[in-house]
Amino acid sequence: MDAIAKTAYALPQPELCARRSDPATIRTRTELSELVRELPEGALLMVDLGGNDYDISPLDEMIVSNILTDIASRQLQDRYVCLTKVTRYTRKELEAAMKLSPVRPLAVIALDDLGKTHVVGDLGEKATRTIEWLTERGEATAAELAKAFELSLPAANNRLADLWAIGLLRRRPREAARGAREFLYAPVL
Amino acid sequence: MQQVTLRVVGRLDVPGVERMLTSLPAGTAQDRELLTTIDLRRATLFDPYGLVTLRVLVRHLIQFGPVRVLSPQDPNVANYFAASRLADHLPTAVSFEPALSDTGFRQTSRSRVMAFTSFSSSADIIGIRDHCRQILEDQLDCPSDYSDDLGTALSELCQNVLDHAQDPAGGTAVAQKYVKRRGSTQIHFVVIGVGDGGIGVQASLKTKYQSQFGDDQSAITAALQGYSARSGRGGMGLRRVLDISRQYSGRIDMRSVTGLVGEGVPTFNWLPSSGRRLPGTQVSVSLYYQTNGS
Repeated sequence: MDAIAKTAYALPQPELCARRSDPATIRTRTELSELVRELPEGALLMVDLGGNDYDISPLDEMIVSNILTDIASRQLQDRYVCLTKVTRYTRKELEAAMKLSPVRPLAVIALDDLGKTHVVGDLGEKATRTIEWLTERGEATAAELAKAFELSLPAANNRLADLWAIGLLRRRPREAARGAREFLYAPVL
Repeated sequence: MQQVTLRVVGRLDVPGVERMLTSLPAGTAQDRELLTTIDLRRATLFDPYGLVTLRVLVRHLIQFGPVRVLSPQDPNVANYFAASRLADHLPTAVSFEPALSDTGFRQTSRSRVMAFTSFSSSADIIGIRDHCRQILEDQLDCPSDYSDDLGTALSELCQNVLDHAQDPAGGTAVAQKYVKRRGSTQIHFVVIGVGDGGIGVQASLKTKYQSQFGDDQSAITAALQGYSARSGRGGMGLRRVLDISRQYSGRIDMRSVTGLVGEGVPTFNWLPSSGRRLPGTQVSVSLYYQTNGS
């Protein structure tokens, strides 16, 4: 994959955005929404949570019902979001907000304080294992996933396409055998 | 001036509060003058819900005239009551007979999570949440997931007070851990009490969502079942608390004005409300986990 264009944004401290109606919450929602929309195709927005513990309502307002929902509902194709310095507490609150969302499934890649990757979301184990496998491998086609996981080709295709649709994987087309076209999938980071 | 005596015999918990309130005159009018005695002499236990509700009751009744409190007779109960610091959060005009003196209550089970605490800002709430999580995890050896979830429930309940209660005095919270033994199994549970003297659930839903509910009971039930969350305009907090309560086979009881609704897994259980009017909203949440061995 080509080098990824990245934009960084830091969330305000939790005491400034503890409620949906706090000015900092509303401002952050607007700023994040604009930032994602202004991203060039294929670019990544890295949202820094600073190792703070955020509760469900502000997380929903600023991130889940905002940029993650926009991505999952295909309003922002080929734009990606990753959360950094995400605590265990905040990951649980994010997942709780995703489970209550009318748009499902939702998910996001989150890095903890040590830089370890977590798939946060309302996803099954198969999806998580697929991302872990792709992270180790770097990139793969549906045919390669089908072989590794003993899946049918359509099942592998669907699994990768679904993860791409909610912003957990990026993809690019390439020429396959006999002039056909296939997608090469890779983790967003 | 009408004399009113409210007696606590036994536990001041969710049912205990309703028993106590039955002596409150129905339909208290603003122009009525009352001389109120709250008789705690035969009280045997104050749970967090009982403490936060008692504060709301005293603040409410002192508008109608003097309030005196007869302190618990049992020295252990009196010490616990004093150590809860409830008295620090009552109007100074309230008299205690005999006077409360904190004689250094020793909690043998090291079970205090948080004494009576006021909050009026998000920063206060984050402080309360993180204090409780730290005590639970570091001093009371609770599992970290449990501590996190209890902290979330506490934080969301407190945030609801700031978002909906319209009580200039803010809210109060208390948390206490208990342990029961059943054979070789220990059942641990923390009870959270959060209360305010504000407008109550029904008026809040009406103000915020233009919702009309016929009575407090149906408004509380709707709120607990995620009414405002389904409206798509926020309201995830209470829904999240309910999910956490279910996850830990817990129980949530919510009193607001004249209504009282409790939910324990798996279905709604209706507790009898005394029907007496008390301002604001008071909530009790209990979350359980088990360990084996002594």
